Amino acid sequence: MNVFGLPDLGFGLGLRPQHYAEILDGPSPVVDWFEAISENYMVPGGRPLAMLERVRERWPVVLHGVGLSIGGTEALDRDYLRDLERLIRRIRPAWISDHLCFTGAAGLNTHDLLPLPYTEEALRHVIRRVREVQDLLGRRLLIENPSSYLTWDASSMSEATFLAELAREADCLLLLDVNNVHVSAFNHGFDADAYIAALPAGRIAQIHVAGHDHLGTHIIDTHDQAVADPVFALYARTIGKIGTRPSMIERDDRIPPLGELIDELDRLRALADEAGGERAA
Amino acid sequence: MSALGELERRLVDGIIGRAAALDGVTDPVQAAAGTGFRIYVEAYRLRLLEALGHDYPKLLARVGADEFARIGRAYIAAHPSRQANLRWFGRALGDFLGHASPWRDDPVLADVAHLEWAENEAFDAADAPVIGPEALAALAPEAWPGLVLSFHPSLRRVDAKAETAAWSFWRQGLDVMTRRLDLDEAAALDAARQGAPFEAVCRVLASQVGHDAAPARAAGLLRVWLEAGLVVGV
Repeated sequence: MNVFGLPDLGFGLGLRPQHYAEILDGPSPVVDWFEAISENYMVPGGRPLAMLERVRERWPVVLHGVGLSIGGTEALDRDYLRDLERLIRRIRPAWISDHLCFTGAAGLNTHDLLPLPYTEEALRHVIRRVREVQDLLGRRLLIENPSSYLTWDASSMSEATFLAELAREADCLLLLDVNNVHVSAFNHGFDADAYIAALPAGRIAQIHVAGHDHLGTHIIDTHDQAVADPVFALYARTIGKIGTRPSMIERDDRIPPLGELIDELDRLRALADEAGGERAA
Repeated sequence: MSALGELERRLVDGIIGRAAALDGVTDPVQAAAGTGFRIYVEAYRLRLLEALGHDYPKLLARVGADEFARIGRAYIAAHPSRQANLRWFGRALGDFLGHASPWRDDPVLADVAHLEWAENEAFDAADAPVIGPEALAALAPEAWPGLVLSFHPSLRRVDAKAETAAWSFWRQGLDVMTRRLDLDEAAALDAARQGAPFEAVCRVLASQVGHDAAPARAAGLLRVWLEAGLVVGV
């Protein structure tokens, strides 16, 4: 068992349609679990759900959402939550997650993970919403730290402080994306290790590792290329401090053959083995 | 409005193009002023355009990437997304192309979009077990006139206007099927989908193929629909 009674799943991959055939019909890939993008399967039926169910027959699955808009100021989207609940019943995920962000305002949806101002008002608001969703779904949410390209001057606390307070007061868990920490740390000039150290380690239930696009003056969180060495290094330092967590490679664009992602996953396994050895020693 | 709601609304207004700049924010420390805001603006258009390209590959192939981007930008401006799942963003593109200048001058474009959207809907519509022709074997002769069919939830009908053609899309198992329908079949299928009993479907066919030919045509179509996996209940 991992934190808060969640299973210690090991090393996973984001489930992408390009890999369905290789995952399901080839030799069983050495992947311990898969993470599915919730919205891609919040449809009535057909191939997407059938594929996800076939994967679920053989692997643990977690659901990762991009549309909850937990920081939005409009009422929670009941239709969305109903569809998510239906998917949860069907797939029985080990856990579900979404992002610390808002996605729209005034009835409009940007389908992006927009940064919140880290104010006392926003903190109270998000705590209320996380509690409400958790009560409705009857389970703890994992909330992921976002990557961002601007910060609000109105913010009165750091993102890490905001997340730490949120996790404790809403009694939710955290999905730590070390690439997002790396991206935002470079963009906004903060220390990535200090950010992670400020989070309540006992509530970090999953780790994302992904690739980005470094443009010299800033980094964009594209998930369209191999994981960069500084991100692997941050991952290694993180699990060296907090211990291993269910970890995965998250690739969303320019999807390579499955084998390339499994090679990256093996690098995470090796780093976890090293960190485990050092912690034991 | 709360301070939080006001800040959120300002960023969203800026992203969808109602404001040219955003104040009260700090950019990435090494980047030029305005960089952060522009990243969100650009990402918004690219993300929605990519979703449209995913949903409408045949339209994209027909008009080319540059024209598709022009269509996409106009559609994004006219129909900003109002729901949480990107899956449904492109729903209105066919109607948009049918009335927006200059694309309405080429009605094939709206047809292509309507057909592709129907195909998309069939792809992930609800599942349901189908019945085959054997389901009718036990039916008593006197039950035929009142026979009402229930169709698979994936069945979609589209009438292409430019070339006056009737199409149907549906799913067999996990695969989307498509068929061009004769106009009498399209009329009969539309009537049956609206719950018309078999004798009323026969009357629809009689108006198309004549009274004498209608019963045989109706029986033939019924067999075609059952064998194609369109029917889930009688």
